[in-house]
Amino acid sequence: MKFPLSWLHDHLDSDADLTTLCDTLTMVGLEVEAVDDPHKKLAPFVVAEVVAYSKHPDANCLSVCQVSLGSGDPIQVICGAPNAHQGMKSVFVAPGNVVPSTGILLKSSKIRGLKSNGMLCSERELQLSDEHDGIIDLPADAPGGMAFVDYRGLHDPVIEVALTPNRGDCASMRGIARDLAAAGIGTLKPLLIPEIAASFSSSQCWAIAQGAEEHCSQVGGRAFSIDGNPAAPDWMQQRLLAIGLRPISALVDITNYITHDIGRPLHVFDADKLHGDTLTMRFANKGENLLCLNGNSYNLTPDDLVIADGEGTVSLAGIIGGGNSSCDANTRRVFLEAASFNASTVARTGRRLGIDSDARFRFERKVDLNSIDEGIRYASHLIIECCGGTASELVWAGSSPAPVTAIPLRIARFAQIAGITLSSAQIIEILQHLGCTVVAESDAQLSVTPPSSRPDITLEVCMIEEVLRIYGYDNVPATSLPAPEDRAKRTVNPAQRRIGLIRRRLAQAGLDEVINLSFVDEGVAKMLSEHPVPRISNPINAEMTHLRPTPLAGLLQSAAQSYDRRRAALAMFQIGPGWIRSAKADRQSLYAAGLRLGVVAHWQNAHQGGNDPYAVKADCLVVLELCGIEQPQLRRKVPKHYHPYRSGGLFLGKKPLAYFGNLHPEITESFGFKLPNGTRIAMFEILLDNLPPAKVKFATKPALEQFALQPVTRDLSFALPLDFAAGELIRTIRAVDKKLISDVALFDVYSDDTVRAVAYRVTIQPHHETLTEADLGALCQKIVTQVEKKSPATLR
Amino acid sequence: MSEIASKVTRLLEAIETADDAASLEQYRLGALGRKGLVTLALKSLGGIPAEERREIGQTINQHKAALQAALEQKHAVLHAQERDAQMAHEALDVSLPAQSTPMGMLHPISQIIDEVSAIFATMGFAIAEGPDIESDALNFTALNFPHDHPAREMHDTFYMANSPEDQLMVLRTHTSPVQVRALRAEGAPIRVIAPGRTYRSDHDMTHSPMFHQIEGLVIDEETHFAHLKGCLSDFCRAFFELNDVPLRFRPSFFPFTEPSAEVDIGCSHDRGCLIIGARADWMEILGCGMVHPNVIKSGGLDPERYQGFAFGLGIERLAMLKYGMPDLRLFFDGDPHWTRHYGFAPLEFPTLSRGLRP
Repeated sequence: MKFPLSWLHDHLDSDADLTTLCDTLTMVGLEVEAVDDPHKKLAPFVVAEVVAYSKHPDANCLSVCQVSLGSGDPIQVICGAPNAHQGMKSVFVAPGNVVPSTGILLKSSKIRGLKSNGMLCSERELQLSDEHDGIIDLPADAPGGMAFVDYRGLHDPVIEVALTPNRGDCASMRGIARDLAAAGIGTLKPLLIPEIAASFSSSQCWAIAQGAEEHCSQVGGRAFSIDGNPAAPDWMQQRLLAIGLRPISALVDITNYITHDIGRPLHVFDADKLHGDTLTMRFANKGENLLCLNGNSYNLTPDDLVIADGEGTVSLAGIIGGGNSSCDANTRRVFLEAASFNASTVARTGRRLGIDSDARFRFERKVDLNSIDEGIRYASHLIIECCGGTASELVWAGSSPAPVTAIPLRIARFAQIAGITLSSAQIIEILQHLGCTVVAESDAQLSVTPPSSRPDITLEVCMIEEVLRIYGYDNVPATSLPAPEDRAKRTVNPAQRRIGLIRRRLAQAGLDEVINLSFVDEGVAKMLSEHPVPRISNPINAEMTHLRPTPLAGLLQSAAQSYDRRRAALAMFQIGPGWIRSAKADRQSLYAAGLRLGVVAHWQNAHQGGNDPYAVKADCLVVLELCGIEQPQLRRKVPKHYHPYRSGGLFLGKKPLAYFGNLHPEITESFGFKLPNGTRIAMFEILLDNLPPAKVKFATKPALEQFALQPVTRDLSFALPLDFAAGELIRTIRAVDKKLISDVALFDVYSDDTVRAVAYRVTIQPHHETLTEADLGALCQKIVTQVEKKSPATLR
Repeated sequence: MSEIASKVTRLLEAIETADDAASLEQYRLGALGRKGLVTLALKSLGGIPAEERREIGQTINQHKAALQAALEQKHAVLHAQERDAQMAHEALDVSLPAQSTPMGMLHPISQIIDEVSAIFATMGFAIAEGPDIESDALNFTALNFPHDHPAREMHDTFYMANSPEDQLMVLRTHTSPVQVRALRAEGAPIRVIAPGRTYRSDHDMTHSPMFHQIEGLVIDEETHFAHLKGCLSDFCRAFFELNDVPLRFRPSFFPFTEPSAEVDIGCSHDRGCLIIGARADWMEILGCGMVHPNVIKSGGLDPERYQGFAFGLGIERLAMLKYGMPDLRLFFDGDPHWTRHYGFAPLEFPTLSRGLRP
């Protein structure tokens, strides 16, 4: 909502300065977004005379002007305007000042070899209009050296406030003035509208169709016989221009002016273009369409409320008029409409058709039900004043609005919510300033009837807000919350604590945390999930149509970009949700996903594979260990986006806890990775929701177990077929004697084309007595027997 | 005896000039070995008259001590030479680059959530959660958004295709539905914050279709508007680590709070640099208000008995204000180099005792 200060002063009697006024607006909830104060902006611009004019010797389209500011030596300005000439009065600005349209600081400069010490300006450069065909041409009697703002009388700042959606009443000068008056910086002037007597019977009458009564509760109208439809008077045009509206004709401008002045939308029909003598409020018939004033044609549905004449629709109720009945320069008979439309009905049609209009803006925020009569009388006065002629009687349909219901307000309740105590006299005074009717039912309770312009006030708490808003939020003290009673309670629960720990552990492992959007396109969704994934019905673009099945989606996209950009090794992770669609509902799961790509160039890495699947297997294992899972089972069962021969899953029973490995080469291609030969992407996904529930153990720890006897190690080397999972033998060996065998390390692998030799170091920890060579020999034999029984391995 | 003395002198000279461990061992055997000079001399003492024996014996022992000392000293010298040679042999080019243990960095969103949690922990808040896909009923209706109201439309909602017939599903446009979830699950009194992803169909320089909020909720029988001001001003002072943070509570509108306020923080813009705590300008940092009676009802409580406040913080905005990353969109670009530049070391856990800011 934008308004020039002078317009506000039509309604508000106040001598508050601009700063006070703006601060007050913001502090009553009408946030000032911008103030355009020409007096400030245009202060350095002065009236100047071109006393000498010649063509620039080295440029055809430039001229050399000697500019006089009334006194002092003339100033040389190089000017490019085609209309510059000797004796011309224009507007000059000296170096060191800012040109409003560009925001650029003006400096003295040489243009094609000649010094230029300032600038002669166009209207556009001063942001007065779009005019830029030449510099401003002022009348010959304009006094040189006079400040341009004083000469032009540009003293009217334009204020722009952000309206919250509950304050439809402040979509008008009068509503804003009423709030400011309530806040104590002026008084609301009475709105005096001269009466126009009825001279004839209206040519049109109203009807509200059955079923439309709830959507248009009341409508009023008046016919006019006018002398012509000239341009609106200058003062009205200036005000409309100041708020960004283009003047059209007196009739149209009057309805726009009243919409902004008192918040009452109106519409004018050219009565000669209407068919029949009845205008009906009804829902559109299927297949009807309407060419509207904005030049667009709309197909209407039976959900759209319209105004129809004898032949069809002539207006979209509360949104925009039809082109077929609009007023133009030839209009001589006018019919004026003012109605109360249902906010939801207007909002739905407006939204569906995508029409933003000043009328819709106000109706969907609710318009004062009692403003029809005032609006018609206001418009009548202006129409007769601007267009001449006479007016008819008023015609009505529908029912007068019910009186506004009174709301009880408990004085104690105010203090209980606000945290400060106001006397009932203070509360009554504020409410009355806001236009409420207040009856003190007792010392403890008021009965408050809000003005019909404030349909947003419906509850006791609305009243409390109103009083507090006008009293000033600033005047409420800040009181710290009392200390919590439950001192033992933790802020994070065990599951949240564990997520935090995993996040820090993965970063410690050398992975950078990134966050990607939750959206992917259908192709990515299908590549990374065997299940269907949720789809957005109104996606923002074709790349963001679905929710990602796993955070891996974003990691892969980002890694492809980042690797392409920098060609450097990458290690990154993300903890976040992934989604799939299941039969009943969409399911959200939490993942920790990570990706490693490339090896840091370093002489010690020269012969290493680097970020092979073992690096990401380690990432999974450190996280699982953190969650208390030391020995997950490895299975070669992975989702299809993994490389089938270079990946694995870590399981607890039947539940997968994590997948790790290389990305499937086909998907590597699809994501557009440009990798050197032999470089692969290693990645992991940890399914955090599958982990056993996190617990906080409050028990103290058992005593540390110390062994007096020295452990013994024995190395065993087995020959294994190439496709056998050698890591699994660690579990087999441990299981031989869980008490004595404290550790099994796989410390060497040698393979040729047919067979692999794998060496295991078994650590044996005696507990009570030293083991003899015979004991150790027996244990080793037992290990060999077990291994050979449970696997195709043979001792070497 | 002079014969021994001259032999000892020769031996001492030889020891002095020995140039390796093997020849030194030869001299040791020649002096102190089983058939060595000293050993034999001591053995011969038996044949010497008793009156001379003492004096001669003393002399021999002096020779022995001198030889021993010389051998030990020379041994030490030779050992040191050998070690020096060995060390030279082991020479390493330490100019080669060492391989560092890489440490990843945490995303600023994680840091801000931890900072905010640390502050609200001191006020007894717990952390609540809710899903990203939310019903229209919880995202709007339960929060007192009227149907077809402009306030609802201003949210630019993403709708889910294939919603169940009985309820329309949306991507939550704010973390506020967690208010209702927490009230239904926990009842009152309650103090919770709820960080999470939120979504609006808006994509430009200053808007991302996904962003993060932290919701706050306090409901009990006493909490009032002055507490709301106190709690949030305590928060801002702790968060920006400034004792004097100018704050402005300005009336606003949210369907789920009444009275509602937006909070501006005092700041200044100095040559493109934002300074929090200055008084030149105001910048909006959060929205808040007293929870609307209809929302308390949605949460299953009696608004005549229970009351309190709620607030919503934009996490990216807090991060940008405190740590100065200029472009919102790059938060979710997934570029690890961005994280390395703007991120936080995982060992720098923000706590009030150590300070929030690294």
